[in-house]
Amino acid sequence: MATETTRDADTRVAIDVKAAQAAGRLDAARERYAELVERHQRRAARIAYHYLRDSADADEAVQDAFVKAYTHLGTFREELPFEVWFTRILINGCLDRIKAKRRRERWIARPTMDADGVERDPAEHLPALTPSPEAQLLHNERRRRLKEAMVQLPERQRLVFVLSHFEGRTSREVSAVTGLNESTVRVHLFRAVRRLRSLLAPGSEHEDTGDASGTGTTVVKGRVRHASC
Amino acid sequence: MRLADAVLRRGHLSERALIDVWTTGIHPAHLDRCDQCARRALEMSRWLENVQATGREDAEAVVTNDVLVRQRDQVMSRLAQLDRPSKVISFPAASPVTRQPYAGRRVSPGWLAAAAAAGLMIGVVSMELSHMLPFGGTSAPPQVVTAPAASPYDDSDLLHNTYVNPSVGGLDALDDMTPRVVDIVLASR
Ligand SMILES: [Zn+2]
Repeated sequence: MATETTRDADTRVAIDVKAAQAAGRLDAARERYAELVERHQRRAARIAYHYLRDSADADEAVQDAFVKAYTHLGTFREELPFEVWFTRILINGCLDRIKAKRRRERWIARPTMDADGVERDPAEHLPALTPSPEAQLLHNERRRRLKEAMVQLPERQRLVFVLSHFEGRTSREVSAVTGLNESTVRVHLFRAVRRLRSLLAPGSEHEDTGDASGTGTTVVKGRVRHASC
Repeated sequence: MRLADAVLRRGHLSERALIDVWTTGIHPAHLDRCDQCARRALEMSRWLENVQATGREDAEAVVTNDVLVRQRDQVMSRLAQLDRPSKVISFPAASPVTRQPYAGRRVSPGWLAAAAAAGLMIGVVSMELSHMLPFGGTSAPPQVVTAPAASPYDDSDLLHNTYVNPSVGGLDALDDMTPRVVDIVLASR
């Protein structure tokens, strides 16, 4: 998670932004807030992308999270690292998007199918966020399979796996962001690994039909604990 | 060593213990004694490393610098829109329209004054009548609905930014009926 220096810097900026907002110096508030955006944007974009598995959705989720954090900065408490507070906002936004998508998919055919009924990578047909040509070349079979496997994880397992494994957070840090206790975080991580190993095992493609603990149809039961807004 | 590992696996490490080796860095003593578990731990850590590298590579391919710059611009422009004060509709101080010759029918100021006086009389008389009629005084007082104190930032705008395209369709009819000051000024000349 944030080093002491980064955390202090974030807090200082957040306090400055709040003060500028309160004084009506909104241009100054935004200018200062841009520092927070720049510092946390890349990580936020990665988390949202891993979590939502759709680059356009992830882009919107990140934008919304930064806008929401700015407009609710008055509720930010300095004893909490900005990064933790902001990540909660981001994750709650992602959860809302997943829920909304599920509701839509009850009525609308999946847009990720092409004319031949073959599932396409959602990132492929989103011009704004498509990878560079070089990156597309590297977009190999392994990445496709991992993405498909990730989406089959229940939300909490996926969230814990993304934060722990892709973002390198400790169980304690994941616990702070998600509101789950540390032992639950470790259980989710273990289950996610076990499930992914099964999904990614050679020859397992298209064979896995899921089980009680790991189907992709798990309903999102709750939001990440209070995002303070 | 966990009790379950000792009892159920004859001392060999569970899959979870192998994952913990990688995620926590804690190195159980059993790994130094058992080649089989050492091999399993190595295989597990390689798998985890591969998945991590693949996942990070995938995200990095999508989250490019260009994407981040564009995204940052969009965030800042949305914030600027939210911070923009509500527009106050001001009447033009010296509209060029008033200097143009008006082609329509001219109405003398005297007629305007007479019309205003007649309107006032009708209003006073109808108010008096409403008090005298039986249903006039029994009607419930109008409910005053006060809007909650508005936050400078409205949550509903977070996902659907209505500042971009404000819609006031419900007020269009009222707007049509309201005379323009410009028209009245022109008419009185
Ligand atoms: Zn062993």
